[in-house]
Amino acid sequence: MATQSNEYSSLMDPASERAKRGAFVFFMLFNFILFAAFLMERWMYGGYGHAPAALNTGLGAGMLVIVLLSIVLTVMTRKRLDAGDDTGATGNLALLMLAPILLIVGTVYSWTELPIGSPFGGVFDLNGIWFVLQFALTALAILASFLKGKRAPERAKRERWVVYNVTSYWLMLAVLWVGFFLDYYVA
Amino acid sequence: MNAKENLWRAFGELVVVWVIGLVIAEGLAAWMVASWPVLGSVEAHVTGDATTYLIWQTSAIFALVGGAIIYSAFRFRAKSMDDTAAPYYQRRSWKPFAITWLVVSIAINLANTIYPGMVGLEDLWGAQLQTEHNKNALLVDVTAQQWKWSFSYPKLGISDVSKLVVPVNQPIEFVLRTKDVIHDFWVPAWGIKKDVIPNEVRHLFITPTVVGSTATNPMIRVQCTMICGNGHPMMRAPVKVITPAQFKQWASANSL
Amino acid sequence: MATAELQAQGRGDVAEKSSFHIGMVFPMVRATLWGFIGYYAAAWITAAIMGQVLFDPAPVLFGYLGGLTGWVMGSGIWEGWIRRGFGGAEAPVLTGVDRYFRFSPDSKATATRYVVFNIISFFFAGMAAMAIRVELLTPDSTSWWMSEIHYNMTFGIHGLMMLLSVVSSVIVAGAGYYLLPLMLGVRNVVFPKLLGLSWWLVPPAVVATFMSPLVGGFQTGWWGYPPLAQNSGTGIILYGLAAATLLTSSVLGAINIIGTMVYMRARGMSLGRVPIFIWGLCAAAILLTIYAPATYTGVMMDMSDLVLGTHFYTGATGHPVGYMDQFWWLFHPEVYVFVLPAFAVWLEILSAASSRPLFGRNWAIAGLLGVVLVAAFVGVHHYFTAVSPARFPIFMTLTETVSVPTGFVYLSALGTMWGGRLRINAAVLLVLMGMINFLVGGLTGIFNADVPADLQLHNTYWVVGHFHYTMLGTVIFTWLAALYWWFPKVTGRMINEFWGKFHAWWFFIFFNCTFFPFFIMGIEGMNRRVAVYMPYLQPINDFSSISSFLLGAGFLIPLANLFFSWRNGKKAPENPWRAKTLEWHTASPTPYKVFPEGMEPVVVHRFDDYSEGSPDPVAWDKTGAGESR
Repeated sequence: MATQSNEYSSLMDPASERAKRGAFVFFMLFNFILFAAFLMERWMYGGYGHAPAALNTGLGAGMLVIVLLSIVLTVMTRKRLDAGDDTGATGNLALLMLAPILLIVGTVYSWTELPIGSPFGGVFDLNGIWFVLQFALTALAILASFLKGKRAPERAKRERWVVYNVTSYWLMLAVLWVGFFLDYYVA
Repeated sequence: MNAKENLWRAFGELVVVWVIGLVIAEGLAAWMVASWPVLGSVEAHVTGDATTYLIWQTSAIFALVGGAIIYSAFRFRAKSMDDTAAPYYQRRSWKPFAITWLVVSIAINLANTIYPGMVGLEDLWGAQLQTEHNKNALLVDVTAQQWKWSFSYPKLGISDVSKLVVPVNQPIEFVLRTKDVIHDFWVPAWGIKKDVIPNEVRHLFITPTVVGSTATNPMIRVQCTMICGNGHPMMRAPVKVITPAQFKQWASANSL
Repeated sequence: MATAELQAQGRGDVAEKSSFHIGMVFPMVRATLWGFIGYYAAAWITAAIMGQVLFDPAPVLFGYLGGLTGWVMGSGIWEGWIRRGFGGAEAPVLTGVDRYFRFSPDSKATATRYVVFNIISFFFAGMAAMAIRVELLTPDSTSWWMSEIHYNMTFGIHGLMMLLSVVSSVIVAGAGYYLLPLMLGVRNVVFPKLLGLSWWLVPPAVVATFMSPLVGGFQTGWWGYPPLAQNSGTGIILYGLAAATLLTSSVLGAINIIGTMVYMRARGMSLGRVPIFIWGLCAAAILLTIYAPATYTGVMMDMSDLVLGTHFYTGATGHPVGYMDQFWWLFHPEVYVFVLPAFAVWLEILSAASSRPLFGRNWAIAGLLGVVLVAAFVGVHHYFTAVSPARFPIFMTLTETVSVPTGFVYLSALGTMWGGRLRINAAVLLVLMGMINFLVGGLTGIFNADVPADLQLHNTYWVVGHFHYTMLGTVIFTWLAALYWWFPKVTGRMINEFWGKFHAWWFFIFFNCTFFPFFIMGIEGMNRRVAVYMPYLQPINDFSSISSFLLGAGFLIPLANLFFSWRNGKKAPENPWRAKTLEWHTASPTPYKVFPEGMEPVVVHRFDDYSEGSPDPVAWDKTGAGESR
């Protein structure tokens, strides 16, 4: 082994917090466009009519409430981060992790409502799969930030951009899900 | 620092290179156009003219730009890699050159959009309109499937023949349908092609002008040009372009 | 501190002396093993649950995902990133030879790995091309060589691999990821771990594509057009997933390129001083970030039609042209992702080689960004024969417009050479040849943009000739040029100039002999993707095939040249080309830390000022000395 020490790790990862958070916006932009494409494809492939009656609007509304609550929680978490209250923010993350998990359950449950072979059902389910994938990854990222805050608070303090980016990403997903609700359930 | 050079003199030399290059490039283009394959329909003349016009044009552009690249690399080369003294000229831009370049490139684009672009399209659409309003136009139903073509002549009561037989100089409307995947209907000699898309009906309008058959000229053949699976290269059908009298004979012999 | 002094100090400071031993390959072996275990475990479990066999679509899909996960985890991402991310123990940062064989956040190691893997990919995809040309020696089906079925698989694999694992990364990744931080004056990119991950996504995708015939292959070529995709072999699953994986890898790099360029430029590096190559990379990165998403959804929907039973493109309600729209939304801009960095390499090399400022630099940048702007609106010219005539005029006009910003690159290159003193070595020669080739490739593109001409030439060998001129003739020429030009930077040695130039001529001659006949074949009525063709086309095909064998064999020359020069080449001076850009201000070969701890470059003058007595563009300052800006 050339070296066992980690003295180079920060030297060779020189991006500032501003750079890490700023560059992450490009990553989010990519995913945002991807979802936007799906939201448009609801019209391209799902037809111009209203959503099929078989769609469970109650379930959708329930999920919307969770999403809206999680947005409030995320904003509170970011406030605490801004104020330097890292322990408080870490505590919020445990609760925030519930949101993607509940949404995964809800989305998976909603797949049984429409036949996947129908144009609307197909694009609805496929969009849902993509959301589930992103929810799962975000849940893992939130868990990672939470555990890092608990197990290695010193390191977490040096890498606060991680929590910022994870919460930013969740905010984007939540906003997109509201768009999904309007696009598929309401329109 | 290297000595000052007379760049106008160099440009004079470049003009000589250009003239030689243009003569060679246009000579080759002329040779290529002279040995052009058969243009067997009204539409083939439109698309063929567009292609040959662009060959003249792009040969000229190639001679001018390519000649300038080769000439300036040759003329302004250093003696060796060790010849590192900075050249006399260190300009960052020269407006007349840049503006000329911009204007010329936009002008070429606009010109190309008009001819052969829009003019060609108008010609094709015009021919299509005439066929659509022509009571005598021949209607041919083309069905593509993996991996064969079949042709029907609904007005003549001929269905499902595997050989495309058409009269010369008569406008034809091909109605293209596919039973499975995307195919593409193309007779190279007729100079135009159209994709055959599942769940859609496409129309292609062609007026053949040259008598012949696949046996006499292999350009006169139906060929699938959209990859459609294992049998794609063999998805061809023989074509016969015959005189109206012969066609009448053929039709009466083949109708039900 | 002066640059020379710093370079002398830079060389000795990091323990890079550890020599290679076989144990260092362990992460790669482990990744391979875990990848195979992951594939078979996931595939077998899926097959058992669904009552299917291993080469049905769903087991292949989940097998691939399992294999990808296993491979990535085995590469060292678990201990190097994820375990640490969850608050676990930190793995030591390896600075020696080890980092080349495992997941590493070092951008230089990532780029080096890309170069090596691109060569491997290029070799195998090139062998596929040779197989294609053997088949085309005779007009009949040449059954002793391969069947039409194998022929279709072969050109599909050749196309996908050459595009997404060779030309998409040779310049952007191989040269770009190496030079990006160096040219901007930082030690690493903005997300080093994401960049490290990007390479590890490439090999499984490449292996999967080459192995796709084992599960039935795919017959669609690299387009994957439905409904053929859904009824011609399970290999299409591996095609779709491999394409998505390779694009993901490109996008991870793209985010790093934009992020690093926007947020991490050295002090004093205003946008007006950013090297043109970085501008080229940035243009490519913007294209990927904006245009890739719609195509992801298209590929997902194509796969879901096969696996999940949706009917976007298939069945009685399917709409296959929708796939074309989604597919070409990215894949036309994708070709600009390949060539824009190549253009930028030309300008970077020509400016340094002729010791002149880059002529019309702002025009060139406007050209690069102008192509980005137009790129989205031109994809329809790939399927003019499939769309309604209403789309012809607008997309014809827009497609032709691309030549205007592209022309600015030639404007800049010509202006730079004119009146300069061009020192022509193998790299510069390849650049000049690439410019000539792209001129042919670009001008023959006008025919495809012009609808009337395209209706005849579409899907013929004309098109094949056109894009081989732009891809092989431009990107691969420029790749070799970039490898030769920056070889001293990376290895500290010079390549053999004689063999470099010899191969450049060999390449140029046989490239043109192979591909120029394609234009004539197209005019003479030879359509694309055929194992069997009409006998009248045989002479010209034979000429092209024999030239292509010589062309292919010729690549052994640069392979040997690069290898032997790396081992025993002449020791290179610090700055053999007397270029002024920032990467040449650090020691060669680049030390692990790039420049010593506590020092930062400050850009005090433009990089392309080669006039007599012009100041050194870089000063070195203590870290943090100018933070109050």
